[in-house]
Amino acid sequence: MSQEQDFKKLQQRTYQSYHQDGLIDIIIGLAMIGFGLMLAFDSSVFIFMSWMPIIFYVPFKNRITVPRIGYVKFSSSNLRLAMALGTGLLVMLFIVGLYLFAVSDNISFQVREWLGQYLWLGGLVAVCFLGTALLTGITRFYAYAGLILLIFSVGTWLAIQPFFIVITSGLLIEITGVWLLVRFLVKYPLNSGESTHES
Amino acid sequence: MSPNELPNKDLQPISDIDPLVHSPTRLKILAYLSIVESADFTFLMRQTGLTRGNLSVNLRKLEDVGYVSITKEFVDRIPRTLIRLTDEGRQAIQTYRDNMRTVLNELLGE
Repeated sequence: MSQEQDFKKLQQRTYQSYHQDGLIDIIIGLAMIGFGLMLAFDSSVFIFMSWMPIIFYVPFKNRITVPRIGYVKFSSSNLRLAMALGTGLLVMLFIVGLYLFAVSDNISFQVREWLGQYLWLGGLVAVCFLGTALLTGITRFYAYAGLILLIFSVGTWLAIQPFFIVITSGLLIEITGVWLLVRFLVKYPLNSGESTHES
Repeated sequence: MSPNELPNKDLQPISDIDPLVHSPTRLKILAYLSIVESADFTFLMRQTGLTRGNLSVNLRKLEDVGYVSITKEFVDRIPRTLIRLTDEGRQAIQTYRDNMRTVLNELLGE
């Protein structure tokens, strides 16, 4: 039904406009960089960097986005699923990191070699981005999915260190997020007289 | 055929259209509210492109007939007006869509 489609389009456009601030990109980028650093230095310290940004997401959203474009709570099951996918992406990075940390001393050579290829991780992350993009209509997530697959494929083919692949992917997403945030702040300057309530 | 003999029953669905929902401004507000669970005043203002005064007046009209509920709350000591579509409002939109579909089908033969 075309009217339902229009409402779905409206819903996706609304969702897109609420996430034009780039905060979600910054959080995902930081998580990936943290995960990459953990791989690079074989240190559990950076595992906190993988999931710490999640804690700051809501406060940042409330301080940066809400005063500028207002507050909205989405209800659709599709969007909830997308949120779950996004959260799943971060949780997955956390669990894999936790697993690597837990078994780092007595991990078998075969498992280490399999983990070393990391193409499977790239595929999983790409699928999460693709799913989120399909459900929410956030088009840049399609690009992220393609980018991740490309970087992980080229990285595996050229036998580049896995941590470098993960950090590069994270950095690209991070840079995009910061660029989106700057653009958002310029587009929606905070008016001191503006409030989020009816006068 | 005189005007009195017109087959009025063909145009009956037009009379069933809720004028409160049919207004472009209010329809815009209701459309946005129907796709979210709740939104604050600023968000609706940004999305609909309405002025503060215009949005306020139309929200009151929708609240008076029970299509939307407006609550005020404080978040970090900052007041926030939260607007959500009521069940009656959701039903009104659904009915409006059905009626419009019928009208277009009957008048345009779609």
